[in-house]
Amino acid sequence: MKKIILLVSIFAFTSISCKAQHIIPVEDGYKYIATEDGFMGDKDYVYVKDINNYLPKFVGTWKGICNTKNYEFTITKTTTDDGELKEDILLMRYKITDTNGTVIENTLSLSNDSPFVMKNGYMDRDGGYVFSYIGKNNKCGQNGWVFTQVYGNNNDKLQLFLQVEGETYPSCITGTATQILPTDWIDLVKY
Amino acid sequence: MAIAKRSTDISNVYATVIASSGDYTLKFTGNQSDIKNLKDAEDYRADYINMMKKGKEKGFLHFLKIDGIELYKLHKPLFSSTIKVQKKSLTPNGKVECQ
Repeated sequence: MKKIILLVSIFAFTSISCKAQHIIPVEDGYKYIATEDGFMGDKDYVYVKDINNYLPKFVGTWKGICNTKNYEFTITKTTTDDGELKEDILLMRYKITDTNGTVIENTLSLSNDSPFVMKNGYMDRDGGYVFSYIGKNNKCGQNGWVFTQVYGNNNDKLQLFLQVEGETYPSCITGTATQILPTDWIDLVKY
Repeated sequence: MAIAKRSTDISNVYATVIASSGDYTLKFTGNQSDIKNLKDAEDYRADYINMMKKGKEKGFLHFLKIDGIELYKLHKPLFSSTIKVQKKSLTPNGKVECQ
């Protein structure tokens, strides 16, 4: 009898204290992005979760050279939760130098909440990961989406390119900015 | 909001957008002195992209979350001159409410 009362109490407490959680596998992200209902729909609490462990293969430091620029990207995985939408996400930082080693841009030490750390992404239909990109000269068009795809036998290579959105804002008075990220696919190697 | 803050006649300040999912009008009915700490438009980009993942109407209402801004959806059936206006807002638990 005591066991029954305990079980009923546990069930009642759980029902009262927990919001119903709706789980969306992270690999289905592309089905929800830019739709009318988005991830939330009519749900109270949604978790976009890496149930099938797709994200760890992106994590690490990736390096490559393209058009006389040295590129270094670091990708980390984290979980965010604003009380309504919980997400397993990737963050991407980067450092770009020229052939003399002069730094063109470096976001490696910025905190997670910096707009210049790439985030707000989703997994695309092909299993790649797409990051929202906001450059330091965002107001003059350094913005868009960075597409990434891991490949190779040991998942040790990464392809990446920037799809420029190029939105310029009224505060831009210097003309359209030059893009510093590669706008064609480049190949990077894991370090 | 910058236009609303500068305006001498707030009743004339509104913005309408015609979208594939309907026509929407934004209107500011609050107090101009409450409009503070406005950022440049480009500084809202990250928040906007983040919020819109929640859905277009819900995300936009979350993004607005400024007292005094009201969002209306206008429905005008084809071949009809009657326009139905719905006020859209967020309930305390974050759902989109129509009035």
